[in-house]
Amino acid sequence: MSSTHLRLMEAPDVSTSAGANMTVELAYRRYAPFAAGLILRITGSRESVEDLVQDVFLLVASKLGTLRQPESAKAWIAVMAVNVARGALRKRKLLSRFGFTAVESYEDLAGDSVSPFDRLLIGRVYRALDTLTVEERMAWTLRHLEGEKLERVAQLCRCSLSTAKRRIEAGQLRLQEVVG
Amino acid sequence: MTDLDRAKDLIRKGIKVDWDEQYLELGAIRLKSRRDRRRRAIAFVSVVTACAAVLMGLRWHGRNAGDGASAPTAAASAQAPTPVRGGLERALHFSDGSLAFPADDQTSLSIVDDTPSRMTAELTSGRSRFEVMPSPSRMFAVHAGAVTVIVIGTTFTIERAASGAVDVSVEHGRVRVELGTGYQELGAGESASFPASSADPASTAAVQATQRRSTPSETLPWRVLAEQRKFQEAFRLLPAASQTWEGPRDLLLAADSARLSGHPEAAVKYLAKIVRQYPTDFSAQLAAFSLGSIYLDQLNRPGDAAFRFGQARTLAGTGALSDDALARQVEALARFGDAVQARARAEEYVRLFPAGRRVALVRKLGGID
Repeated sequence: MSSTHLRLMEAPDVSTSAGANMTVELAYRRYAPFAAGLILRITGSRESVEDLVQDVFLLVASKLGTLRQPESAKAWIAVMAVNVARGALRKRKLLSRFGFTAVESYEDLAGDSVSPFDRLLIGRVYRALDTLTVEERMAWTLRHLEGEKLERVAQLCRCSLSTAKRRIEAGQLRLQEVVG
Repeated sequence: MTDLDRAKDLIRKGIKVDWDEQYLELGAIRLKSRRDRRRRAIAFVSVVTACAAVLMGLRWHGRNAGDGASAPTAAASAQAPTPVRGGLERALHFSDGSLAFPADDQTSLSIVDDTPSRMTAELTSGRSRFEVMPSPSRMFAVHAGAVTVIVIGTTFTIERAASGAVDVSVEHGRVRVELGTGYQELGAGESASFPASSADPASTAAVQATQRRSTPSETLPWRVLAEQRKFQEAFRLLPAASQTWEGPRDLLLAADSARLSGHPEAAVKYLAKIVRQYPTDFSAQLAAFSLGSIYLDQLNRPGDAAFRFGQARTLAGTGALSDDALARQVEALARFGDAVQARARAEEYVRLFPAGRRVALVRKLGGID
């Protein structure tokens, strides 16, 4: 599990503690790439990531007054990014039930430094994720791609610890079955 | 390490965004514009609600409001070309979220057009800064005497100096300044001064000289959009732009726009053209490989995919793509149902790449195991 990701949503952001007067523009310039990366890995859609990041910061703008500890801004924005990504996945799932399925080109998610076969491998993972329920996908992604602790996964997925474990396990079984 | 573990590692390390300062700046401008629109919408709903409450109150008291229902709407008044004078707080708002900031009380600026396809402002005097939302489907222009500044999506300032000249300076993006029959393009950080009248022969000649040197392809909106990965919008502009494309790079970008906006059939056309017209260019290998992937993964045409992977392998020679192209050719042949060819190519793969990462899969697909 990636220790880099483990720290992303929990560690206080020291760089903001000096400036309590956080504005939306400042928050955007500082955290938009972080939120974009998170949303991109969760949804697997490069095309919609910019719009979703905008949605995240519109939420940030409307709730900025409730942020009591500027040093937790990053974790706070991460929660909103996760919520927005969940909403996007639900919308996509719903549309696909009615036949409105956009062709996602998951092979292009990684940069040019990744070999064509590794791109295909990534594509297989995301196509397998598409077959999970949104709840299972969120739980598995937060645990296995973002490196979150189980308790944090349960908190972000708004479910009990045992439910989170069950969802992660279901996702893992499906992924192992498809990807190997 | 299993394939799944490796995939997780690749995703953690390889899937991220690389937004530069300029991209973040444009995003921040767009965010501000969306917030402004939201505030205006809330204000509008509040006003409408208040008006409805007042009307209901009047009716309650038995007063007839006469023809009050036909009072002019906010939308109609917003479209009128009303000059705005002075003050940064007196920003002019265009309906797409673009903003104009008159610098001071001496500035006279008005909106001439504000439609989805065309937005035009006229600067009669003074100086104004413009923050224009990127949009390929509408033209944004500012007139200052004989000078017209045409914008794709950018931030710039235009000033009518006391000498009669028009000064244009660009902060971000790119603008095109037209004067008479000529034009000049200015990029980020550039500025230039133009005569207010097109009758000045020296300036017009200079602008015309620039016109002859300019490369139209560099400023095509679809290309800008494609490079920003806005493939849906870029794809919509492709048909009109095809005659001005230059080389395999544009064709690859066009193919990406088509493929990533959900139009794989259109992408095939551009990729095939690269293979046909630029067979010795490295992009031909990539194009052939991409064609194979599209046929196999998106169009379910494994026979065509096998041919294209074979072509990619031939073009790659002993290059890095050769291994992957041959492995995918085996996959395509297996799906096509040609077990004999699939096995033959699989045996070739095992012979050429005995330590290749895909040996196990290729052996399985080729029926060797």
